[in-house]
Amino acid sequence: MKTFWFVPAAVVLILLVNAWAGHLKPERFPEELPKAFAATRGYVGGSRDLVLVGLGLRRMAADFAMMDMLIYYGTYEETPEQGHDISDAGWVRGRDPDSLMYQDILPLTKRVIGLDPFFRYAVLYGAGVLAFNEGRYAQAVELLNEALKRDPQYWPYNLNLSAIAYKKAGDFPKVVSFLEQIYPLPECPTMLKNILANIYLKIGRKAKAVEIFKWMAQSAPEAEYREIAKERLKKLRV
Amino acid sequence: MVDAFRRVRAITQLTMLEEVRNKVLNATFLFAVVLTYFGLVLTNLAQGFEDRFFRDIAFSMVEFFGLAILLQSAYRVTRQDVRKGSSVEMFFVRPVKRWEYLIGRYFGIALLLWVGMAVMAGVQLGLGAVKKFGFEWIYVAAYIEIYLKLAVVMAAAFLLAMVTTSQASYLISSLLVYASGHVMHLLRALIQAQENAGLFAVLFIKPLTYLLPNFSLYPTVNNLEAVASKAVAFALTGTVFAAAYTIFYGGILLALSVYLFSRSEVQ
Repeated sequence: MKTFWFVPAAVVLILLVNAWAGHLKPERFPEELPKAFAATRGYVGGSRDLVLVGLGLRRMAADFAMMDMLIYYGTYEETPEQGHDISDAGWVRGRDPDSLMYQDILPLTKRVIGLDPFFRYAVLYGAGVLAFNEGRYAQAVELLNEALKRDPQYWPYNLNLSAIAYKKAGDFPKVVSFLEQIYPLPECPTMLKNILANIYLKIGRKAKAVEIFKWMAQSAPEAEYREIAKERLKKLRV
Repeated sequence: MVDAFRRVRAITQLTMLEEVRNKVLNATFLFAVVLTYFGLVLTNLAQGFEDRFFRDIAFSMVEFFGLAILLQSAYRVTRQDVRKGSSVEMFFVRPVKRWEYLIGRYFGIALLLWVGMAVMAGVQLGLGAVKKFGFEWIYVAAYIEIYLKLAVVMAAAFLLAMVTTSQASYLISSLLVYASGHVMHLLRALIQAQENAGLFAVLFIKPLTYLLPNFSLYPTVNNLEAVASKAVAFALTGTVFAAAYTIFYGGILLALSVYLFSRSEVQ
């Protein structure tokens, strides 16, 4: 054992083992993480992501990034130029795409899916917010197309793309037909369910809307949506 | 050879018995406290993905506490015991070779880690069942891969305990190796993707990425939903491959540790 060549030989062996491993099993999406870090440039959470990824806690980093997004979108934001129109008419029209409100939704969602390309809830949530609440259809489509590249077999992304196209065209019955297929999925965000209920109201299918609002009032994980649903049910005199 | 195996087994058992009560009980207690806190309090913030958040925290903590157990134990058996001349003398007055001592210690801590992780996994699944979060068979593969990854870290920790001069430098360098193992393959991919990578990157950083461990070979825990929903195909060969990597890479590091240990002075 007491031979000087032992250490260099071990180093060469390590290099060979790692080269063999890297060759046989290359990283699936090596560009994802740099994208996530690029998306958070200038944000507080960027260095936290780096530390968590370094500690092998990549999914946890994605979870915290998703929480950041929920907190960001849950915080009331109003610019001097654009008031926050929360009326039914305002929702149906969609927010002005040039509005300065919630401009960071796209980078925040990209950060989440960069950390975990299969975080479907985050994609559905981000795309739903962008398309149905903020009226930024192009950004929503960009997000869904990016997600589809990684997860092409996940059909709700395609349905969402179709729903967005019809929402843009103002064809609400068609939007409903697509959202109805996403609704039963466990990863369907409450926000999308709320949107579906609102469209039901818009096209005069009150019973269906009430059904969703009742579910939301009782079982939505978000307290905010439970309150919204209760308000709606009161307004609908149910 | 049979005698050597018996001696290694005896040291393995002794190491396990020495450490199991304190380390596993402490780690499990802390794990349960942290998990309960996250499970009951912080999951409220993860609205809409509570089960995923709970599971991620749980797997992360299993790995984190496993790392804490092994780093602490590896240093004790390779440096503290040897320096103090306490327990190691009891071994070396008997016909125990140094490699047998070190290998026995390694497997003892590996066994300890296995027990610790099994208990923590039990706590995780129990709390998950209380919260009605369900169970997927893929969790088993994730636990195995975490264990294999930590076995590599343990071999690196043994080596670093031999070459570092203090406990602080040992801990810092071990954590750096652990952290870099998660990003080295990305660094390598980035250097390859750059058309005009600098000379420094090609001559120094790239070889370094082949020297440090590659933890991208243990990906199941980062793809739980994707595998469960069949977006990413799970192949048993992947886990077998990870096991082979652990044996080869960890084996070389352990052999290096044995070499250095055989040349070190035992007071």
